[in-house]
Amino acid sequence: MAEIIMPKMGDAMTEGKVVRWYKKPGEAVKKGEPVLEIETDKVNLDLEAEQDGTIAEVAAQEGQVIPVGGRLAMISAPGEKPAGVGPRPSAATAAEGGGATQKIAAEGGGATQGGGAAQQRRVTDKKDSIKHTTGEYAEAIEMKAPRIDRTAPVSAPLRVVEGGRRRSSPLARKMAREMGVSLDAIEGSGPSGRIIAKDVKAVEGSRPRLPGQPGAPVLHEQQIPLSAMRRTIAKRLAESTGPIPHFYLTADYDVTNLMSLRQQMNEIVKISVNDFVIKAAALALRHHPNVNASWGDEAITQHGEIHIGVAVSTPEGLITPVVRNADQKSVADIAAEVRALAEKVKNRKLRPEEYQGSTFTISNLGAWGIEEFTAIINPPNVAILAIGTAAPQPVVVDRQIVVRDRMKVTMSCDHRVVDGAAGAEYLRTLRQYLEQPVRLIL
Amino acid sequence: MSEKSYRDAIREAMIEEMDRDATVLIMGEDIGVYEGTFRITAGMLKKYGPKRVIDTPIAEAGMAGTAVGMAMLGLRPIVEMMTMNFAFVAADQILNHAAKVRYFSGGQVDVPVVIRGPQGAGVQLSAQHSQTFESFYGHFPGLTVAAPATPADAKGLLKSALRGRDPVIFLESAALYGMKGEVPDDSDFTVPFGESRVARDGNDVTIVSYSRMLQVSLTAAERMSKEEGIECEVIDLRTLRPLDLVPAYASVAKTHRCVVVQEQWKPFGAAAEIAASITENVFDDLDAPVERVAGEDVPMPYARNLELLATPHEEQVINAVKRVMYKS
Amino acid sequence: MAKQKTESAAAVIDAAACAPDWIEILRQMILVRRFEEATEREFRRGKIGGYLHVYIGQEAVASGVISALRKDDIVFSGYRDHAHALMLGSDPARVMAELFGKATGVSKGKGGSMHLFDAEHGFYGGYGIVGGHLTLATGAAYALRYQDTDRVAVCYFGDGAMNIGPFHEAMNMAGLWGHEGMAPIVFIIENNGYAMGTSVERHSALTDLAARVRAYDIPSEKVDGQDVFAVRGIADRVIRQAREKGTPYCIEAVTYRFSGHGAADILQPYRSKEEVEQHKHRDPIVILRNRLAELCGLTDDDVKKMEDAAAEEVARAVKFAEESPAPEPEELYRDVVAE
Repeated sequence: MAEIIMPKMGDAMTEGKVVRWYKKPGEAVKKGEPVLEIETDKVNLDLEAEQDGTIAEVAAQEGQVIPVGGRLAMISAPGEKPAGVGPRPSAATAAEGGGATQKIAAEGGGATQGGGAAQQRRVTDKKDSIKHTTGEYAEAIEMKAPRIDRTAPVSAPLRVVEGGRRRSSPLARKMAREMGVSLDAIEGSGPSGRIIAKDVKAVEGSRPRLPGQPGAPVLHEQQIPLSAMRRTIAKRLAESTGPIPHFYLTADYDVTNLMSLRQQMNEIVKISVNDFVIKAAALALRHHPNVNASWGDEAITQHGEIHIGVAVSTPEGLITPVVRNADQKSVADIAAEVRALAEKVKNRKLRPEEYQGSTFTISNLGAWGIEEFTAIINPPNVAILAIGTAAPQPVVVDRQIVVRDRMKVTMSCDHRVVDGAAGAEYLRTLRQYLEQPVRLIL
Repeated sequence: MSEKSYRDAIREAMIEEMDRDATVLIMGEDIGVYEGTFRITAGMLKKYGPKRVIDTPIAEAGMAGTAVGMAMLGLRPIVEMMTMNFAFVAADQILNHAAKVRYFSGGQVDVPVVIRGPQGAGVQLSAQHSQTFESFYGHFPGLTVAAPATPADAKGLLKSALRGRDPVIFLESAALYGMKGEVPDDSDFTVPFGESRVARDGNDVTIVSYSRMLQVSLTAAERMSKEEGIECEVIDLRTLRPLDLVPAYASVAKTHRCVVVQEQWKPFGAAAEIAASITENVFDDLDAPVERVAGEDVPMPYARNLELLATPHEEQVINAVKRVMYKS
Repeated sequence: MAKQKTESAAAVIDAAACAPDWIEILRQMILVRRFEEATEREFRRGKIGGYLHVYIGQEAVASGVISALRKDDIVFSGYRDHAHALMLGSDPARVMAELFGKATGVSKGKGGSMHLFDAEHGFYGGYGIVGGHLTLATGAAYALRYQDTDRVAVCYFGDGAMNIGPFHEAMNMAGLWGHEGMAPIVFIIENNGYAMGTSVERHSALTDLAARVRAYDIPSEKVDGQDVFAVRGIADRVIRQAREKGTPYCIEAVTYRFSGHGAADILQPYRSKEEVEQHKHRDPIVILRNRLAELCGLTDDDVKKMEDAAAEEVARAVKFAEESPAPEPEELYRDVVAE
């Protein structure tokens, strides 16, 4: 059984049209006789039978468009039963089928030109081929492998575009949003009435910043020069406790709402408790730039960005890959990123820029069932959170014993930079985020 | 450390690498007997002989193409283009061959060819002899494009090129050939590709530039500091491909405004790529659109006054800085 | 297109009789012919994309020279390059896989028909710009001498490549460097009478192509490109000279391509069917077969064995190509620059 397929006649050709059949099923053909006429963008031509035989099947109607390689007809060899033609054979057998009826070039003979069954007998030129060609070229250029989207995801929480048609610079919009101020209330001094940063800043003074409001203060990197008292405290504490004078604060949080939220989220995307803690800690740092800082000989640097180091344990020791700008990422993004970083740690593919540059660190031994522990500060940070396991505990509420999920957090602070009260204030803000986790997704 | 000129730094880089590695050779028009039109190769024919210092016919495509073939077979040829303007004639050999052979062979060969030469305007050489090429070559994957602004970078980047495995287009600024600067003496001093540097610290505006325009930007920054009390942070890109904009992003996140300065024409120039990338990556921190200072969109004229008008001047950089600060 | 039988060709015939060399050459030419026919079929089936330029009818020009090379010599070619790659020893399966754009191809699927490349076997490409690779070959030859070796470079190109700028620059530099013994390169003009659809008479002011390279002080001669004995005779001589002296040479091989310029060249309005049929009577495979039958009793049975083996090898190659995977998406970003 031989197959006549739609041949590719040009490098951009993807399909052709059946114009008319010269033969019908059951009719005999001789080798070299035209069986049908096809039309491509460039030429009309006749497709011929390669061998003597009988038309067993006509697989396309006149006027039908068939893709390159598609079946047009089947020709049974003399003596072969034309009935029982099966479904289109796989490419491999099609090739064999084609080969069996193909002449192999012998002495004085020509090489076969074209594949399948195509040898032109009658060819007509098309005059208006250009417009067809353009379309097919576009198809030809289409990639045959799945396309990878390499554009970096813009990691931004949901932002509402404010002010309708008011013109404003991106910075001004960001500042206004963070201040909880509407652009409608601001006069723009830039070109075409564009509201720019200084216009928003001018309004800042007159609006109080409410605690617990969505968004948080803008952090700017600044240097706080050391006062004489601070230098003295630092010196004496360092002498007694080594280079970084540590002290520790423990807080016990009710994470029942957090666990419930996590359960709901896990139906959609896998998030761990620690991912929530990372986000909460980062958001809390916005209110406490004094904890998102580093000690220096001349000044304490309060950082303009929040990068959370996440302690990961490996056979060789502890390493802290960094989630940069964690305060601006969604919990889902943080989860994905921590997973990816942990994978890199496992495969020893973590690059220096991925474990350097943290401004604050979190270590979580909850998975090992540790209730509470003290962690050592990761220089040049000035604090670290040690997260214990989240577990159901009996607690008293309204004089009744109820079961709530509780989690202990121990904060280690560098006394040169963070005093007891400062650390405690941070943990109090952190409580808001951990015990009312809706704040994490505002 | 010693003080030397940009020209001498380039010369030293080549001599040190030719001394160190016998596979390095140089070819170009009139570089041997004539000792080079900018005398960068003076004395080299005598020192290394005609096999390693090849005077070629005037045949840039021949020079670039044979260099690709040499590189594929294990040599490290330097092609000195008398000026980079002449390299247009070799465009196919550089863009269709040097840049692509590694890729379409599936990584079977290295093509460590260095094509270097002076570019830029300034001495009334007219339209065909006054162009700059960073956006032209920077467009093509497979090429490395360097555009040093200081003698130290000229030496360090050229040495990196001669120790690498890929084709490098080394764009020297003719106007900077005489400029002097501190250069490390260490014969293994190299500057890596794809690392920009902060040439000047500041908190008010970020200026991003490279090559000769970097020096113009620094001049403008000094004036702004003295005259207006505005502190510009100036970033020197050093290489255009690979392009390192991370320091620029950090800078713009801090200053909230950016001006990019390039020598050649604005349409489709390097500054367009830089400005788009900054906008994409630091959008929320921008208080003004990224501005571009570029040469006038005309072929370079001959008359001196017109030539000066066509080339960016620090005055234009200052005006752009004022605009992004809303101070004009 | 006069048939030239040089002295050295006659000597080769007499001395070699049915030396295994000639059997091997015949086997390779048959394999290449069957391979090229298969690529045409696969193109029509839509398995091979882009351009396809087959070597059918020109086999002797490749085998006559390549069979005279040493294993460490190198070859550059234009985009009609399947024959060169196969005759230098590339695995037909991996060449077919490359044409199919699969990861197992010789260029990892990133080159395609025009950019076959197999440095291990001395095949340095496979180039898509007419005349663009001649300078590369000239530079490569310089490097071979610079490194104190006696390796030789061979550079194939068509008659159409002789009019473009880099051709002249490469010839001039090869001639110049030849004076210093730094150009161990043999240029082969595959003069098949047409630069795509334009005949030599219509594209070259001077139609004596071998004469044109002498303008660059490169010695040259014409040969009947359909007679592999003649081609091999000259090749032996000039390759030895290039190897010993580091001087360039140019062979104009007068040949003919039986297929169109490329797979899309169906109408072939630039030549008549009669002309093509006439040239098919001088099929290089037939010419070699007949001579071997005459000189040393090569039988039809021997040839049938070769044909069957070739068919099997080609079928294996097609199957391998079909079953191989496409390159993984990550491959897109590899080999742009050294990692």
